[in-house]
Amino acid sequence: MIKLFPITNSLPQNYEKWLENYELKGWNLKAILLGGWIHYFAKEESRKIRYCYDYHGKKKKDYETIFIDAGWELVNYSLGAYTWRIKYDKERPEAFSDNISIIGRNNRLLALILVCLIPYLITIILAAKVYIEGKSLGFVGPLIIIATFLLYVSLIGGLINSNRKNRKTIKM
Amino acid sequence: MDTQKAIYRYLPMTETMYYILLSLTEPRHGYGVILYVEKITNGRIRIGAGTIYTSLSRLEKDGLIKPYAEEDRRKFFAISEIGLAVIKTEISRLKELYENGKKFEEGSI
Repeated sequence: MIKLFPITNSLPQNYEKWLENYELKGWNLKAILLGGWIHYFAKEESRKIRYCYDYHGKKKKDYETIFIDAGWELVNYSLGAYTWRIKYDKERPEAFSDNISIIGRNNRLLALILVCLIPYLITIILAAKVYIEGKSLGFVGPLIIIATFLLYVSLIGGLINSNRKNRKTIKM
Repeated sequence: MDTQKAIYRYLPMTETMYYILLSLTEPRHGYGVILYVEKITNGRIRIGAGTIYTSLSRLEKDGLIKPYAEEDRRKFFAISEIGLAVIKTEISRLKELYENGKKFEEGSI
């Protein structure tokens, strides 16, 4: 079974749960392709797997070694994003065991999203220019722009909201 | 970062930071810290791999720990003079909390 990246579950914690639910239903993740957009699952066995999505910009040897030492398996690395997984029996393991590091992970993603906004805004300005000049953008053009805008807004809002909740519960 | 600024920034410490600094009074790599903290807290605290990496990076950047060695892709760290001053100040603060709690229980506060 092939599934596209779940745009409506694009927050890290939701994406992880999305993958974990497929594993529980017996759909085992076999590969993540095309920069994280394509997920290939095979129907095999129900497994309790914890997934972890993290972003670091570039490959980091010492970071990878800590995860591997701690029993995590690297499922995919593309464009600075890591997807890790680990099998478990009872308690669902956490790669981020305190709120401060969850906020850190969210902030790294926020920085990436804000950087990606620059080419996106340039695209919108160019599209608006074409529209003002009286040329048609067709039906698909505006639809993609609106969909991408909604995705950006929901992602940024979701990450900020997640950080706000985590800040409230930081334990000293 | 100087010592006073580090004390101001890190105190009061989170349990995670406290135990990471405490475990680096002897040189250890990331996973070594996870195992040591789990051992001395009798399994109560299991620091996540992502948390240990970001915490070590932050402590190194702020000068509380320093790189000690590198073996088989594992980076070992040890506490620095600044880190030692920070954890000693935190221990004094925790002692004060404990002493005042004890006085309260004894009815002398």
